[in-house]
Amino acid sequence: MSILDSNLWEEHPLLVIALITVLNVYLLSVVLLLSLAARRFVRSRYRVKKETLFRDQIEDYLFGSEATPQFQVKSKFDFTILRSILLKNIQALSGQEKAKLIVLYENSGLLRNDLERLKSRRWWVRLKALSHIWIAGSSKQNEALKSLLNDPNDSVSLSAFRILSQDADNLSLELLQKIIRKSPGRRYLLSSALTRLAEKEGAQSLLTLMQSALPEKVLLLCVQILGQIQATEALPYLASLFDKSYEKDAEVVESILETIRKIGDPQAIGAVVKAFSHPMSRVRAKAIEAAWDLSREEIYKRLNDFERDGSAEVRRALEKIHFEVRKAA
Amino acid sequence: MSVFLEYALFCFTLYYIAINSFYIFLLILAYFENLKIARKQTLIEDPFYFPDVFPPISIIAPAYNEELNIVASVKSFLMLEYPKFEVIIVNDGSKDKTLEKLLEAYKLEETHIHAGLYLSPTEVRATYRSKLHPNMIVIDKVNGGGKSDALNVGVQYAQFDHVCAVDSDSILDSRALGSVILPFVEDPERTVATGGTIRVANGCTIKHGRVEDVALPAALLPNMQIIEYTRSFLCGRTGWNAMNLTLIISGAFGVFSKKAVAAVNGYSKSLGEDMDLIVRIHKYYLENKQDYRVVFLPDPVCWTEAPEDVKILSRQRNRWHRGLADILFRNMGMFFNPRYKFIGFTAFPYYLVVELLSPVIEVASWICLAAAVAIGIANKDLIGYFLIASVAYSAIVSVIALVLEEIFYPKLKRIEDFFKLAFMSILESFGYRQLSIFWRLHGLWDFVRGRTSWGEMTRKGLS
Repeated sequence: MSILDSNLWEEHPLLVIALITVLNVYLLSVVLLLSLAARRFVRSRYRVKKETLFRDQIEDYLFGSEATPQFQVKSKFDFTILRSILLKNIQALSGQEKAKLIVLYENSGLLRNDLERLKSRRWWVRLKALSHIWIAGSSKQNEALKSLLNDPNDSVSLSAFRILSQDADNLSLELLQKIIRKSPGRRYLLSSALTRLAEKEGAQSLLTLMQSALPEKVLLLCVQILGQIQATEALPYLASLFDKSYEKDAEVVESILETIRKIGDPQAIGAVVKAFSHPMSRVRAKAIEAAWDLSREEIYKRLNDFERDGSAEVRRALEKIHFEVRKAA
Repeated sequence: MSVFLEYALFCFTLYYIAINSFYIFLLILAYFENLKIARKQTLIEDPFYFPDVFPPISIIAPAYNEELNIVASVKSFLMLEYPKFEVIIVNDGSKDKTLEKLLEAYKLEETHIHAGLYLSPTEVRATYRSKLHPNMIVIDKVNGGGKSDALNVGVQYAQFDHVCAVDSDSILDSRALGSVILPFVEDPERTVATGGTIRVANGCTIKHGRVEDVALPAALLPNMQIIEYTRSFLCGRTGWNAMNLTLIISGAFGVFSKKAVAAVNGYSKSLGEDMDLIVRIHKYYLENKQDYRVVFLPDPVCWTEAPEDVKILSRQRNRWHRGLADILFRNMGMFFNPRYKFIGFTAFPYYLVVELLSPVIEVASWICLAAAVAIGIANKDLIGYFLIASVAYSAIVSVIALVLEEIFYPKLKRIEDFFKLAFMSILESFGYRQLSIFWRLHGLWDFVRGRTSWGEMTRKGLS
């Protein structure tokens, strides 16, 4: 029986209305789906065309005629394509060509647009603009970047700090302290900033920082970085921090043991031996691992005591030792 | 009898209208949620981002008898565009050549690797590191304890604060890690878990561990699953996420804070270990009155091979349903418990009534319809409304989910594929849906009988 059958309409008008409505909604949705897909295909073709055009103009500018290219930028979409191509080239090139493209980026109004976007209320827009400024030459934008150190979003403020700290003149303890106060939880970002500070100014800068009232997370990071840069001069301070934290904070003690292991100075074995009798099994395990690298005699002397330790962590540390002994044999 | 059948059909029609209207409501929520999410995702689309902003991640892939896919999957993990990550493959005592394939393809060397946590008592036979990729390690453990135990072993060896659980037979999109970690970048203090979407890889062209061309498969069954996955991830999960009530992060692709996993003592043995972990995380944080969030993201994509065989698909759906039943019954105390806030008052009842019991309700509705037609006593209008509410309305939900996907995360490249999917959205309601209901009902029955086996899952392999 057809839907348009007059009997059906007369006998079941509501059912027919419901059926037609559902059918129309379904068809409209399908049409919408197809139109969206068609729009996307057209846009992607347009993008390829524009990309080729811009790329040719840039190559011509770099390796052919010296005349500044006149880009045909008609919409926001064109602007995005141009920015992407320029940034890709700036990243890939170096020397004179890179310098030329940075000027071109500025003259095309892209840098101005990035600076405007730094004021956006959306953190990801600010962060994106910041990363563009980072690639396309940041040295002239210090003031704008410094204002971002107080950005409510940690990723933005720490990234601004990252760009600023690339220039040795900008990297200072005060600046870092400001950032630490604001974002103590950003472990990974802070770690790279602290490492850069330590690389630039030596372990002493970190030791000075550690003597100020630091949040524990940052203190732990500093301890870890001292290990990474193998700062032998930090051992006396680490020993005093070890004594202070021994009963109060197992995490700090564990971190110090790892750092002592990385520094690799056998004279620091005293603190490690003390930790053999720490109440926390993970600290004892860490001490065994550190002692194995610093002085194997200490391990052999106490191997029987360790074997009697029933904890899983110590058992695992011993497994490593047995594995290495087997491998050496 | 006829009055009873008419009354029952009327109730079932109302049930379908209510369920599908709720899906439409979730779709509306999902639209606004996607608007929000898609804007932030532009941070990842743009390749010029700061590497320091993104925390390092440990990818954990348990592997049991995965010799067909394992090399390609590991390759896809190693090729991810992400600043810093490690890949941990946990060989769960495979009986095939999974380990041998890994040893050969990645030049593994036995070495001692320190386990920083203690979550599993299972014996680890050996640990290996790749000579070709220093950020790839393989943990060879004895079989036992299931997937959850293998994941726990992986978490033990993870050196970073964020762990990403993936299936070793799946392939991640090259920028999936960057996308899935964004909620952690945005709010590192509160975010404890994030998860991405699972898509069907059947029919796609995969080269060098990457999905290069997205197309629909020729077989009917995987196409039906594509519709199902799109509806479930883009509509259901995104909608729930808008209300901050995500209860499932798929086991095939999820990132967790290692601290949160350790706080709940890792994965526990369950057929639905992924949902179980999230439920226990919710419980832990709500009981301890700590602020937290679990986030589902519709864009980071993990490609997986959907079963093309009815038998295997039925086993998979049976297991999923038993897993759901197990978790809901184990956490009965959360239902309408003010301590668990909206999770107890909305998400849990929804999963019970709509997800767990729907096979019972739907089978009853179709039996009722068949009886009414057979006896010839039912009101014809009512039968019409019943079919509109159950078949046509659900086809509309499916097509709108496809529209949403095209607006925010388009992947298909051929116009004929859109026609095919639109047609499948109707076809799905005739046969496939009923089969799926039957498998789930069977799963529920197996759960009542106490069956806990995983079921053999053979795959063709992604190539």
